[in-house]
Amino acid sequence: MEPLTSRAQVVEKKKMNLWERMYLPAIVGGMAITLKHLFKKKVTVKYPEQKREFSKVWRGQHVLKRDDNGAERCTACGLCALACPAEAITMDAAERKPSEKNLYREEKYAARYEIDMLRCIFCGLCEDACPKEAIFLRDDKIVMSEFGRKPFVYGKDILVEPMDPTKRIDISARQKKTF
Amino acid sequence: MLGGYHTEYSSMKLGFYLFSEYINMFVASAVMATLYFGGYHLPFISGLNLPHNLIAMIGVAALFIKIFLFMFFFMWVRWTIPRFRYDQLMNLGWKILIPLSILNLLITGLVILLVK
Ligand code: SF4
Ligand code: SF4
Repeated sequence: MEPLTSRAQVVEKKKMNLWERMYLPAIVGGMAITLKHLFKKKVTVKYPEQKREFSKVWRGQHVLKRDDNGAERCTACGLCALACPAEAITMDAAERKPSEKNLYREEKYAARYEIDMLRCIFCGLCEDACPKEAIFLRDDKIVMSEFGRKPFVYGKDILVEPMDPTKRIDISARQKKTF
Repeated sequence: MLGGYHTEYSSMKLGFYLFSEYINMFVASAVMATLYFGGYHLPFISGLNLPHNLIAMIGVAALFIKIFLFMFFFMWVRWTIPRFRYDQLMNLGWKILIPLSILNLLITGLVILLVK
């Protein structure tokens, strides 16, 4: 059979001689290796205290963006739910009342918008599907663990970003798609 | 592949189990240090004419350093070969290490005989 990689090696089973059967040289060699590793730089990090930097293409928890005036961008078109391969997104649409113009950008908005984080595979297709640039996957937030399944269904209270302009969530890196 | 007690016990019971194992390790190290590595003795310490109390203190430190060196050795072996297959371990012990120690005995006796 053709080897799949250049690193393929033919191993043969041969009888060990006395020196090899003693194991002692091999054990001493192994102990030298462990001792060497004792003085090497650790490859692990102490996780909750120390965190690794996220990759630039990291896809974390979703955010529903507001526009510059603080109105929600999402128009409940349902394209994200359609694009979602895991069928994680559910929503109910509602019509905007004239008095709610400052809350919702389009005439139709999502009265309920839920993402089941247990179903979600963080593929980012919802982000690609959205015509209103309303949903993004943050590059700085992990979906945290919970004690049950219910709390994993994130509603608008968690997903929509705060109205306060100083607390807006920066997704410019993902918007640029420079990667 | 697992040692039985790793799966059978958890929390404090496993803690006690491992604790007793480590006590065992400590005692074995202490016995080894005392019997074969001179206990509280340090070479050349008696030639320095130090006060007795200081010598006693250094002796205690020396004993504990020896004990901890042995414990480190135990753990070091454990890090290296977490699970030695048992038949191989038996082979190693009976067929390799015991003949080696007997050889050591013979050679030591021979050397002492020749030197005297
Ligand atoms: S990231 Fe993928 S799986 Fe998760 S909600 Fe968006 S489309 Fe669905
Ligand atoms: S997030 Fe975007 S794709 Fe999804 S319903 Fe809102 S506007 Fe449509």
